[in-house]
Amino acid sequence: MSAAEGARSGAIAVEVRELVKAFHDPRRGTFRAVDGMSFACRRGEVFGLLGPNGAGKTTTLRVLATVLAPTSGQALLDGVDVVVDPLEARRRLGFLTGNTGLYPRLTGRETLSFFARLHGVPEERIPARVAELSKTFGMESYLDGRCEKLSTGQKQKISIARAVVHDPPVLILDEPTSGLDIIGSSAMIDFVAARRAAGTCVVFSTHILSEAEELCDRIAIVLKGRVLAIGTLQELCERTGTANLRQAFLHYARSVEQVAPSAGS
Amino acid sequence: MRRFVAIILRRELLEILRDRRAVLLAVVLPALLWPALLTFQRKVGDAGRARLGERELELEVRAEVRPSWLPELRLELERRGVTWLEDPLAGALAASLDRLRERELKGVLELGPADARPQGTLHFLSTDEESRELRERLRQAFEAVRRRERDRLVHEVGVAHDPAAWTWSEVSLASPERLRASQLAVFLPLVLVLVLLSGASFAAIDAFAGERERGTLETLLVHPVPATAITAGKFLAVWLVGLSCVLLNLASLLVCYQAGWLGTSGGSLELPPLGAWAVLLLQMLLLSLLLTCALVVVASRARSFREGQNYVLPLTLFALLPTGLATLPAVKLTALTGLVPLLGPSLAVREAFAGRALGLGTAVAAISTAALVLAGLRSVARALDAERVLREVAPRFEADRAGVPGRRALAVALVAFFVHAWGSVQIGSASSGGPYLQLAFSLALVLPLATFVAARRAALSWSEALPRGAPRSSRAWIALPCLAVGALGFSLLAWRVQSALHPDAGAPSDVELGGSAALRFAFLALLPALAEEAFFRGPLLAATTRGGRLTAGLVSSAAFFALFHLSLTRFLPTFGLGLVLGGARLATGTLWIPIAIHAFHNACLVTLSLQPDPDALLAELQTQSPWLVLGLPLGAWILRRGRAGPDRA
Repeated sequence: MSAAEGARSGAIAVEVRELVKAFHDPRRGTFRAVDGMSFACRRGEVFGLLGPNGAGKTTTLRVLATVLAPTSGQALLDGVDVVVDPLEARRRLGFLTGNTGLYPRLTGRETLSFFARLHGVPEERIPARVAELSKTFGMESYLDGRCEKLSTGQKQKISIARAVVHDPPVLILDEPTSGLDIIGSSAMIDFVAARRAAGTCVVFSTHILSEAEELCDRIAIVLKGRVLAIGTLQELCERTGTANLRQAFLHYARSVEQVAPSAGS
Repeated sequence: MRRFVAIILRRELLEILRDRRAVLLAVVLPALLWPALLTFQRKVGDAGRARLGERELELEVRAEVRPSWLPELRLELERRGVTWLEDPLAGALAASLDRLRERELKGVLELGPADARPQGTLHFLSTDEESRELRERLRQAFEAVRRRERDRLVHEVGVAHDPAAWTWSEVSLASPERLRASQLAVFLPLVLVLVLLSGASFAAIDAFAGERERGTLETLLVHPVPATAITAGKFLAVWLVGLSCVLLNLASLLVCYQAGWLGTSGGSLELPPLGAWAVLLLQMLLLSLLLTCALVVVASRARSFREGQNYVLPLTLFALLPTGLATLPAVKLTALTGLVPLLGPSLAVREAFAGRALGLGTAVAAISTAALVLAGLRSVARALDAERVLREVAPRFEADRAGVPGRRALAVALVAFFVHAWGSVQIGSASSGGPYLQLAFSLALVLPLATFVAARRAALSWSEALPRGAPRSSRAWIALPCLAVGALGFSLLAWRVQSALHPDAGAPSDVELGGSAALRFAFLALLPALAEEAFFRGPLLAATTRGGRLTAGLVSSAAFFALFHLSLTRFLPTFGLGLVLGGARLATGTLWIPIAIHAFHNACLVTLSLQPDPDALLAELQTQSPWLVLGLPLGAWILRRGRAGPDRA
């Protein structure tokens, strides 16, 4: 099934069930960075995890990206359990963070070819795929320059192209606009919109309300490792009786603060 | 897997070769080190020597007696560029010596006194190069005068029986060229290790800490590539860089030889035979793998390039220490020194280049380095653990009250140690039955009590604290004889090291205990095996290794085991034995195996002490100890095969 067909049929691409991730810290003892999180998102959907720093968004996305093992619960990527078959899950995944770290002494072309090889793209198809991405993102003029000499915006485009070099059905973006200027941020927003149109499931974490409002089809409000609410912008506002996302978010955040002291007593 | 390794390796090498710093350290430095050193030596050293040789040096002569050969000596010295200053009205000697200290003179020669046996005394300044040169010229001149005088006497009197009339010459069977080659080999391993570390360390830090700092490591870890393939690719890149540094350096040495630069003013140099080069290449191949393992493990722990540099510097100094020891003539290659990492291979190269036949030491150096490489590769395989890389904490500590049970058990061990030490001192001075009472107090009272308290304090179940079931694999019983012999060999070997460090350490067979043989076996073999294993390999090891802290648990339990023997001079052998016993307990999952090994070890020593000449027997056994130690890897191999087989299920 192609990505576009998946989007039409609304097939589940990412599913998280009762996910728990606990860490041991010498000072804090054992704590749960993710504490029973559940959500699902479909192909062709942009799903936002909205929460403050330390809410558990990055940890959740890292579990989905198979670099952290869950303490309990389950995470499925395109039907593949990330614990049972992490390599297969990674094949279906494009992962991008706000850190546009690239190999400084490789050219853009070499970088894209390297990651295409790691994804198992056949050697004879790599030049064509790199050329295609170069055209899509307008990178022809600097693709053969070393990454260390590129501007932040140029590096960001190469990073984006790197994440989709194998045309993944699921794209995970962990605060992808952090540290970017207005032009860089808007380029990222355009890119997400384009992937949605192509039928990719985009899971997107942010603490910037305007981005979530503009981009996300559905939003999960995350606090202290838990999902407090999931819905479209309109649904969240209706449920809380508020006018915008900021007020809706504060409504849920205050409800947690009110519950916490009584739970602890 | 192999395809991924090749892709990663290619990228790593490409990045390294495009970095100017890496090229400088991995290509330019190894290739130009010898030419630069030799050119410096030839140009600067020879020029300095030539300039010194041309200088006119002033010698003040104060002669109370005037032997007949004095004019001849003066002529010889003047021929050698020494100005002879002799003034009968010269002032006090002290004033002349002050002038020498002020470097106005280069030497003061006293001849006399007249009223006693005549003697010549040269006052010179050893810190002054020209003054030393004057001493050398005087020696040569005096030798020339003496030779002429002796020839004259022999001619006049006939063949003299006086030894002073004889001339001596020395003929070395090793050619001077060969001698210079062996002298070169003394420093060659040190240079090669230095070159290897400087080149490979940059590659290692950049491949692990640098990539982590740039944020590309996380990107790499979310691609469908096993972490072991990523590590293997990076490891191979670092190793190839290190190895190429060594080979480039050797190639540059050979080029210098071909160009005749190695000869210097001392004459030419003869290349060692092919066998010596084979030893050099084999040892350097293994050493490069070992040092790469160390660099990779260290670099993977660093969070930034700078932090990686901070870690690598002590490692480099640590590696240079044993390699530097190999340049000392007193340090010889034996089966024991061959075991020391870096020192053994360096000595093996030195011996091979000196033309000595390959012996046990060379084999031990190669085998022990290969064993260390295998252990190092296991650590390398865990270098890119994603959880640690991203969280900077070891995953095995996750969600576990790590350390608390271990700390509690160690506290119990500490208290037990003080009680044991106090009891030993009190009872030891009490009566004639002191030693038996001492043993009974510690083995039948202190240790069982400590076992019980430690298990309770560390909240261990009895099956955890005292695993008394069958071994995990039935092969453990097959491995037992090998492990027991290996442990005995290991202990004897440790005794040899201890004796070398501390000659008064005594011998393992020194058992100052009266009574019948049966009593000795009971109190020195059976009872210690049961009581000590029950505590040290029981709750103490179980608690300290909780949460996967295997190394920390093994070392701390072995250290307490050694401390309980209340002798610093016996610390090393008992500590080594403690490690082996702890390893056996962890590998087999039961206490019975370490109890059997411990009982066998002690029983052998008691048997030895009962022999008429225990020292001779012990010496023989210690000679064989390197071979006995092989029982340990053999036993481990048998256990490993058992775990891989159906028993595991």
